[in-house]
Amino acid sequence: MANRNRRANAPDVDNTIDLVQVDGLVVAKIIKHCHEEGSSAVDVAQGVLLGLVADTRLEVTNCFPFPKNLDENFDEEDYQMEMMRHLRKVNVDHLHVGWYQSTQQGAFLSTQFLESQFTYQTSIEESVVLIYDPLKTKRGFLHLKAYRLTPQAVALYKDNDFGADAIKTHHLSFESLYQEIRLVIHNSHLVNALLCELSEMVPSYEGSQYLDLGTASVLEKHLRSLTDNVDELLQDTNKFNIYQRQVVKQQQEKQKYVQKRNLENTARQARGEAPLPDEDITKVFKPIPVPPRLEPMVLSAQIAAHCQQVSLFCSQALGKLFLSEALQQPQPSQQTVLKGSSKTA
Amino acid sequence: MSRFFGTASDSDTESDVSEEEVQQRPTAVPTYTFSDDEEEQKRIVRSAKEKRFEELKDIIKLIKNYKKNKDLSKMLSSFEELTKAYQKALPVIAKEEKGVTPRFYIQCLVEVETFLNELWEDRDGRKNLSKNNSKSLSTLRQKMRKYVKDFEADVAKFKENPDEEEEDEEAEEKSEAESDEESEAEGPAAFRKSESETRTKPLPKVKPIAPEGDESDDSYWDSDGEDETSSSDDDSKYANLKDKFLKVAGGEDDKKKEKKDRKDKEKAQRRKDREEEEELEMEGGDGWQVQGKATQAKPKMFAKDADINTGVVLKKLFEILAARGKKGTDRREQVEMLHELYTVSEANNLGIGIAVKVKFTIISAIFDYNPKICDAMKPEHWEKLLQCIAELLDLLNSRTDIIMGEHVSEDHEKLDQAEYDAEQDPSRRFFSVRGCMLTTVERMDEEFVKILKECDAHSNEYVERLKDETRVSAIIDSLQTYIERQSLPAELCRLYMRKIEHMYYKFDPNTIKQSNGESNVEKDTTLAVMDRLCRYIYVNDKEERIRPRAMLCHIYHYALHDEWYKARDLMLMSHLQETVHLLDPSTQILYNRTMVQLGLCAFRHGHIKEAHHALLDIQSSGRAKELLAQGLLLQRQHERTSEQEKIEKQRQMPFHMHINLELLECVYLVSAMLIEIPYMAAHESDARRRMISKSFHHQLKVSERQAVTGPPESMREHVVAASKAMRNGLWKQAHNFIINEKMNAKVWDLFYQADRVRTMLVRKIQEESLRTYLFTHSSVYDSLSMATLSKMFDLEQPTVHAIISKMVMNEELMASLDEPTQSVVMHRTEPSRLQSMSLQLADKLANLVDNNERILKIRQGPFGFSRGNQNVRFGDRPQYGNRQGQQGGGGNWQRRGGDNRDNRDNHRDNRDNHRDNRDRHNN
Repeated sequence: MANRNRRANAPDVDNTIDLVQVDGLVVAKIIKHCHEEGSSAVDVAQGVLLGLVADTRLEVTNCFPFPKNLDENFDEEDYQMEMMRHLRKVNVDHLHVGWYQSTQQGAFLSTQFLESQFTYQTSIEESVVLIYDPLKTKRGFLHLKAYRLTPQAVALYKDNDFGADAIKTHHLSFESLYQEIRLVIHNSHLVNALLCELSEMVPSYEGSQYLDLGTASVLEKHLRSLTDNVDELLQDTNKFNIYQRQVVKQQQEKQKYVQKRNLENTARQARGEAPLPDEDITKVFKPIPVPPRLEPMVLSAQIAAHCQQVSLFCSQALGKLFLSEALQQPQPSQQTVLKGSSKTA
Repeated sequence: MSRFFGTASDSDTESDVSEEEVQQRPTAVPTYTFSDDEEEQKRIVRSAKEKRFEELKDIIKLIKNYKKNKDLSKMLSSFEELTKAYQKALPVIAKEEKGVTPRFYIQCLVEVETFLNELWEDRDGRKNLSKNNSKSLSTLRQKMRKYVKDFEADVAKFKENPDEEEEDEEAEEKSEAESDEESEAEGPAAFRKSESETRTKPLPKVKPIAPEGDESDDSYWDSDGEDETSSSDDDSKYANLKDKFLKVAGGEDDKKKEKKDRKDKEKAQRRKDREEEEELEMEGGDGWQVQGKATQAKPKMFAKDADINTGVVLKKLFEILAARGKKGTDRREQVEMLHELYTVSEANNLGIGIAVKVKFTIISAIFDYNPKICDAMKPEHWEKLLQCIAELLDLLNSRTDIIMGEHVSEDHEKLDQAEYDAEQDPSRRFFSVRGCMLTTVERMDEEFVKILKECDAHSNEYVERLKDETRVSAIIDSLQTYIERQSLPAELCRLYMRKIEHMYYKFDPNTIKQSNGESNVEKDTTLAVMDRLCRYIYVNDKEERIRPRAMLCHIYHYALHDEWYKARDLMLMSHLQETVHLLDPSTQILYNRTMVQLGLCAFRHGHIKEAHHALLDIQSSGRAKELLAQGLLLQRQHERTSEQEKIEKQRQMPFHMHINLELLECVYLVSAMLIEIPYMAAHESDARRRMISKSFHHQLKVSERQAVTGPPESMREHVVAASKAMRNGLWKQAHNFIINEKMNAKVWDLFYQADRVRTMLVRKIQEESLRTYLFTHSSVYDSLSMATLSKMFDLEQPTVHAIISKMVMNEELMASLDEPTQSVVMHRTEPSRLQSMSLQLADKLANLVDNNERILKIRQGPFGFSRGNQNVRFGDRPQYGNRQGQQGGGGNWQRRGGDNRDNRDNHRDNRDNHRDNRDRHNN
């Protein structure tokens, strides 16, 4: 019941943040870090966000990376505290407000990810996680998103019970596992002025990478990770299926057992004997452990995210393709090629 | 060693006349016979005690020695002997010493016990003992404990005053000496008698003293002694010349005089020896001296002017042979003696029969010299052996009237020249000797292989030994002429097999020259010889054991000389693939070698697929080295026992027959590359793609795992780099990776006519690159000009045309050829990569939906809804209870379905498929 009450209060706290305002500096630092360390498929770059809450707005004004090569006797917490202390000395915001992580093609969701975000959110109420995708940025779209766990998910984690029933009571589905928070990049006026100046200096053709038409390869990558996720989900559903069948079987056996018992008891009563003592039925039939449903839920969420990204990408790519087709029309020789690729899109 | 032998040998140094020394012992025997008739009763009693005590003391001395060397296993055996000897001595002790155990015996026991206890306490020391020794230690200790219990009282007494013992012994010895002297002083008769006793004693005592190494002397000695006594008037045999000389020339008187002289001398010696006895006792090397002396004596086996005839020589020969294989026989000596015998028989012109017989015996004695079957012969013996066999074969080949074979029984041997000469009937004028030359030569051949394996393959020594290969081959050839004369098919088969095994792995450049018509056709190539020999075996082999080997060698030889079709056909006809696993390991190894050689041959001829198949079995396991018997692999999982290792070592091929493993691997990887890369390109999006070559994929994966790939260094890296280049259609780069100086030095130059192989390889790379290019990039093109393609891959247009036609024929490429424009028009029926992936995803999603439905179905109970129509499914749902859960599941699907609307079309295409699946699931 205590949980209920807290959950009732939770939305108030949670609503405090509906906007993440990230400084240009932070974005630049994250991008730099992620491109340096998180560009290969295996490595993930992570770091700490610093900032302050103002009303319902979280201002992220600085960040620093987690060191990559950890020795055995390296104390991460010490390092963080040290860093924050130093930053405080130079009069920078030193409040821990979350963390950031690099990702590959948006495949960042995992139980570990949720768990660490949960610990962040329980210790620092307002913390967010920023996800940055270097690959997408390379294709011309800055991909930086802010996420938080939903209050239901936090409550679920607090209960530490991931059975199907627990998820049901928490009114949780894969869609409500986490929520995206609007993200604004904020620059000081000086920086804005500098950017304006720079944009004049940058030659116009430098922007050509935004017109990259490489649709197939991006889609292929998405499809590949989608296939992988679906595979895993398939296995999970299989497991659940087996569980269900076992439960049904056990239920039937239980019923049979009870019926037999009742029959015997009535026979005994007819003979005037004392009825059999009541046995704990759970002892006879041990409950089958419920497979945790968190994993499939995370997978579903991941699949959903992928699908979202694919559809977003497709709409963008289609627009681009139509645009380029229009541009190419005076040169009919290449038309066929374009048609081919538009088909694949 | 007995005291007396010790003295005798010691006197060796003092008296320079060795001949005299030699004659001493034999003469002792006759003396004994002389004195035999006097005072028999007394002598026996005394000698019994002395004899027993001598025996005991000898053994005790030995035990002391072993104690010093800590040779526990020998000590154990000596101890057992000691107890036995004591048991024998018991009645004597009871009689003479009134049942009191002799003090020296107790002392020995006490000493041994303390020694054992010390050793037992010293734990570290015990650990260091060899297994054998530590085992003996524990058994000895137990026995000792039990045994000592019987002597407890004596031992206790002894321990009380151990000092007494020395004086005692000294006293004893003194008294003994005195008694000796006394007896000597008693008079000539008595003296002679005692002397004779002392002389006779050594004979039986030699055995326990030197259990190893001088039994031969012993037995030899014995026989001599017997000869001496039994055949004093038979002039044929004397163990020493002078003795014989004396007997014949001087007669009895001289003998007596001689004896007296010697007696005086010996007396003096014995005194001296007494003084030196302590040292001598400790030395323990007396036995060796005797042996050395014996060897000196041995080669002189006949009396100087004895009438040496066949019978005598034969007798001698059998005598030597009788010692063969006995434990203490000195094998080196035997060989020497046989040689001596041979020279003697030669010198006396005893005829060829004897010569052959003795030679043959020499050969087997040389074989015998090496006691261990797995060790190789020593080079000097090997030289001798080769020489002997060659000589013997020359002998055999020089005459046609010598029959040598296993079928000749021992009794029917005809060796006597005189008999031969006397025989009137020419049909019966022959010598017959028992012995199988073929077996000998086979054995020799095996020894040869062993010797080669013993040498370090990279040393000069190996080369030196390998030079003997020609001699071995020559011997086999001359044996061939000999056996062909006798014409026994079974033996001939065996011999041919030997010959084949010496021939099959040797490359004869003449063969290829001949097939090219360059050299004169007259000359017999090894291929022709091989053909003849193998055919003979195919026809005549009855045992079915040689034939497969011959066949494999034949195939090997064909393959080696680029006779690909002949080799392949023979291999296919032989059906050996089916039965090879039933054959013995060495034939299996030969099979592996043959397959490998076949693969190399196929590669040289550009039959890449066949090469790959032939090498696949050997290479895929990564145990090529082991399978070809070219070295032992380290096994991590289970250690070999030493027994296993020995067996495996025996199977190893000698180094000069090895097949280069790197060449093998390179050929395999390159053929795998030429097959696999186009295949991979063709089936890139196929989920059910199989791997053709696992090890090739392994190499690819290893290189992919590396963060940074540098320029290739090893052969494997070159092939991998070439594969990567080929995948992208960069045939020139691939060509440069496969054929460059490094690879030439490592691999390609090992081929005969390497340039031909290289041109073939370049050609293959071009063709396969073209195919790969078409597979990978055909989806991009609407049409392709064949002229461009031929320029791109540096191939003639007809070749390009042929390749593309073949691909179209095999439905590998969805295209058609447009003749007028010389171009390929793509049909675009193949799904693009993205499309095929979408199809896969759709498949998986369908499965997922199925599973989800099943989850729902259980909740709903057995009602179900109409199966065929997907859209109805969700409409029906609200009728059933437990809405929440369903909404979760159903919602999931709906949502995903919405997102995958793009895939819907594909999905629908797959629905039939899907429905089948579902039915299967439901069933």
